[in-house]
Formats: sequence, structure tokens, C-alpha cells
Amino acid sequence: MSNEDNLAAAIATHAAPHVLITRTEGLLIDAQAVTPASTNEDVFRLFEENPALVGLPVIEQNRPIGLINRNIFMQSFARPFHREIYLQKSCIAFMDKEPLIVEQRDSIQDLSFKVIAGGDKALADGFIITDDGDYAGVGRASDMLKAVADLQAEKNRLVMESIDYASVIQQSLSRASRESLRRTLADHFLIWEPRDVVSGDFYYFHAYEDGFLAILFDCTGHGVPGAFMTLIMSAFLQSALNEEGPRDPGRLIAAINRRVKQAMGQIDHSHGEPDAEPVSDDGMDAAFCWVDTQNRKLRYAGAHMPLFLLRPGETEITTVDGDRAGVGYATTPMEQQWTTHEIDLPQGTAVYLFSDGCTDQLGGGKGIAFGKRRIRENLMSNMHRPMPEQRVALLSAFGAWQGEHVRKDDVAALGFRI
Amino acid sequence: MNLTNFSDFCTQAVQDGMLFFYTGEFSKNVIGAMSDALRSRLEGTSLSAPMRRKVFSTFVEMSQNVLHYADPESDGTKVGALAVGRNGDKYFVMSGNPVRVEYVDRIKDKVEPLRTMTLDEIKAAYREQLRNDEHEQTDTQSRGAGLGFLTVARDASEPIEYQIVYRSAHQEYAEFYLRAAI
Repeated sequence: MSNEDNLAAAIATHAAPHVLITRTEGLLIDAQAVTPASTNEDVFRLFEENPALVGLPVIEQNRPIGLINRNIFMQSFARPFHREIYLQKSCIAFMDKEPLIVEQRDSIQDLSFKVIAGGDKALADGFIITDDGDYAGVGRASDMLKAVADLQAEKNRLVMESIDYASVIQQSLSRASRESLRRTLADHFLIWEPRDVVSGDFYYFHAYEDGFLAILFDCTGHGVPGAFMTLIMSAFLQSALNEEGPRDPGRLIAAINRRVKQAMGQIDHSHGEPDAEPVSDDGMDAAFCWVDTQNRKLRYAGAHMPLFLLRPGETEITTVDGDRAGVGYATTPMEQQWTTHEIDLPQGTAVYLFSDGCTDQLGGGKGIAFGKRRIRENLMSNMHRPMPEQRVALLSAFGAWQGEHVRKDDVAALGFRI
Repeated sequence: MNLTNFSDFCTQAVQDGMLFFYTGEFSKNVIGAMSDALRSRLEGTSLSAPMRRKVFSTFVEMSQNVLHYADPESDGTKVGALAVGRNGDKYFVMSGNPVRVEYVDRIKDKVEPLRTMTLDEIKAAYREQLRNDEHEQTDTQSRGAGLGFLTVARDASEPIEYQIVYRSAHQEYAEFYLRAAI
């Protein structure tokens, strides 16, 4: 079954507003044809009687052998002596001997490629449609363009419907985290802005008796492949949590790394085997925070994703950089370890995590990145305000910076005061 | 063509000194009828007898020329155009007809030299050509052996003019136009 058939079947199950044309036969116009026995006088009369007739096919034993274009024919006839010379001669004198001939079972897509390859001629004259080689009728390029546009719109609608539903699934998966976050932390904000409906950025939050685990991660890519990766990573995270528990983020990341590399075969075979099957090289950047609420300690481990910290009374934001190794990539070794930083959390400390979509967004007139410095400045100038207000201030500064530039990547951030 | 355009067409023709214009099929009957018409038109003028003879002779040669050069494969139908007119005290005869493109060079070779020859040279070439009866065996296309062009050139008071126009959709035919002023 071809793609077109699948599409046609998919479309048939939908209540489409009008019938979509997927095959050339849908464009068929039952047109008059002439034979080589017809004279130019016959052709001239047909063109005069039917002003809408653009092309006249010439058929011989039911096979199309050419197409007479109205304009070329009429212009030729207007030249001196042509009328006298050619009037009683066979109409093949003025026909195009190589018109575009297509089978009625051809898909609209195949047809459109043929028409475009045929250049201006096929666009102007149209094409002859055959049924197993026998003349069936003609088609107009304008009808084909409409069919292509309709199909395109329908494909687009199906894809978008599918992605919209994928977004519902992705958001359901994070609902538990959102609810737990809301119950556990009185003052927090969450930013989750997919570039294309679904996102490669994701978050996880879970509360325990002695603390909570907050994770922000940014998978390779964005859109559908990025969202795929967030589901895979969520599954590995659950499995690693079951094994390692939430209290040592560095160990947790290392456990996920091993699982990703094993499951996806992302092991660097760069020595030799040039013809080896191409392996994927996908992974994630992430920041893992275990907050021990009893002892007021934060344990952070990062893969390419820093932690911002503002302790009460301080006038500058502390940046704790994560390790340079990403999680799961072919170039990251199986036995890679991630450093767990232990940080004291005085009452009222603010903690922030940002995906690189925030820092790397181009804008600001010159088209340069938003950067960590502007994020820190914005946080500083709003440090005394509640987290939801900081979120509004941050997003408005970010939006102003982006201006007319396109969104480059998914954007996600998590902030809380504890 | 509607009546307004036809009236414009007639006015323009009179302004350009046209006495006579015909386009379409050429046959002995058509040429005969045109000859009668032209003869009576010329008799109504104050033109001298030798001038009348020259205009008439040029007209006959050019008509024959259309017949000769028209495509022999076209079902025996010969088509062309012919005009006679007056410009000041000179008369002109013009003809046009389709020719197969493969004969264009041969026509040019015959007409082009006539444009630079003196009247005496043309007369000498004419006499030479009359004696040359070998030609008929070697040139199947031009039965008149170029004598027609020589006759036209001999009666003309200026070098004869010609034009080849390529306009056919299939490049099978070119249009050949010839003008002689008497």
C-alpha cells in the first residue's frame, strides 16, 4: 500500500468538507479529439466553435499522438499564406508531437512532478490522460494545482491533528509532576514553551517524606523527535529511580546514561567499520536537584545545565556549573560519572534552572543570544517579588529580546524559593 | 475584418498608391483575370506605351514566379500575393509567396547579383541565359532558368528589392517578397 493509498484511506474516514482528488482520473475532462485524418480546417472550426477549448488531442487508433495548442494553431493560421497552404492538410502539421501524457491511475503527486518537469508547456497546454495507453481525456494544470493544494492542506491538517494529540499525551505525562510541584512548593514558577506544539524540553518533580526531586531536562532536537526523546528519558528516569533512589543526583544521571546507551545502542564505534549501520546519537542535557528539606541541603548534579542560586541577603546570583558530559550520547562513556554538589540552603533561598532555549534565543536587534547574564540581571532586579511575578517579568524581557526573531528552540525553566 | 477596418484598409491602400492587390490561390485563370483588369487600369492612365508594356511584363513575370516557386508538393495549389501601385511617376510591382526553406539560398544566389549589375550587364546576362538551353536539364526547380528575375530586373528603373521572412511554425516555409520599381 502506497503512502497515497494510506492517505486516501485516512481521509476517507474523516468527514472531509469536499472530496479530495488523489488520482489523475479525478482531473479528467471529457474532451473532443481529432485524428490525423482531420484537416486543419476541421481543427480551425472546432476552435472557433468552442472558445474554451485550449488544446485539442490528436488520437490514432485510440492512442494519443499529439496535442494541438489553440494559441499556436491560431497564430500560425494568421501568418501569410499558411491558411492557403495548410487548410486542407492533416492537422498533425501544427500539433505538438510530444505532449505530456499521463495515466489516469497516476497519483496527483506523480502527476505534479511530471507537469513541473514538462515546464511551461504542460502548465499552459495541460496534459492528455490515458487509460492503460488508450485516450481517456485531458486535464488542466490549474485543476492539478488545486488538487495539490487541497491534498497539501489535508496532509497538513492530519499532521497537525496528530501533533496536537501528541501534545495532549505529553502534557498528561507531566501532570503528576505539576500537581506535586504545586502541593509541595508554595512559591515557585514553571515555564514550558514548546517551539512546535510538542517539546524536547521536559521536567519531573516528585515529593518524598524527607524532601523532593526536581529535574529539568532538554533532549536532543525539538518538535516530534524531541518529544519522543522526552518520553524515552522519562521511562529511563523511572527505572533509574527505582534502582538508585532520588537522593544522589549524580548517581541517578549515571544510571540513566547507561540505560540510554544500552537501549539505543549509542556506543561510539568510531574505530573502524565505516560501513556500520548508522546509530542514533541522541541524549539530553539536564539538571537534577534533590532537596533535603529536613537538613536544608540541596544536592545538584548537572549535565550541561547550570544551577542558579540566590541566597537571602546576597547581592549576586551564584552559578553552579554542571559537568560537561551530556547524558546518553555516543561520545559519553558508559561509565561516565557526574559530580553531585552539596549546597546549604538558608531559609528563603531561590533556585533556578533554565534550558538552553532560554539562553541561546537570538534577538535584541543585533541577533545575539539572550545569554545567562541577562537572565541573572532580570532575576536580580525582581528578586524580592514572588516567583509567579518573576516568571512574568522574565517572559516579558525574553519576549522583548526575541522581538521579530523566530523562536529557536523549546524553552523551559523552573524556579522555586524554599 | 469589420466595415470600419475595411474602409481604413481601402483608404490606406489608396494613400500608398495601390492600384491592385490580390492574395490567395494562383492559377492561370486568376492570372488571366488579373491581367485583363490591370490592362484596362493601365489604359485609363496617361502612361507611355513602353512604360505600360514594362509594368505589364513585370506583373506577368512575377505572377509566373509565384507559380514557379510555390511549393510543388502542396496539392498543386499555388498561393501568393501580388500588388501593383504607383509612387509619384514610378510604378511598382510586388509579389510574395511561400518557398520551401531549402530553396531560399538558391533564390538569393539568383536575385542578389542582379541588384549590383548595370543595365547593360543585365541585358548581356539575359541574352546569355536565352542561349543556355543546357540549364533545363540541371535545374529541376527553376524552370525559367532565372530568366524571370532577369526580365524583371531589365524592366526595372532601380535595383530590385527582396526580403526573406521566416515565420512558419515549423520552419518548413519562408516567405519570399520581391519588389520592382519601373
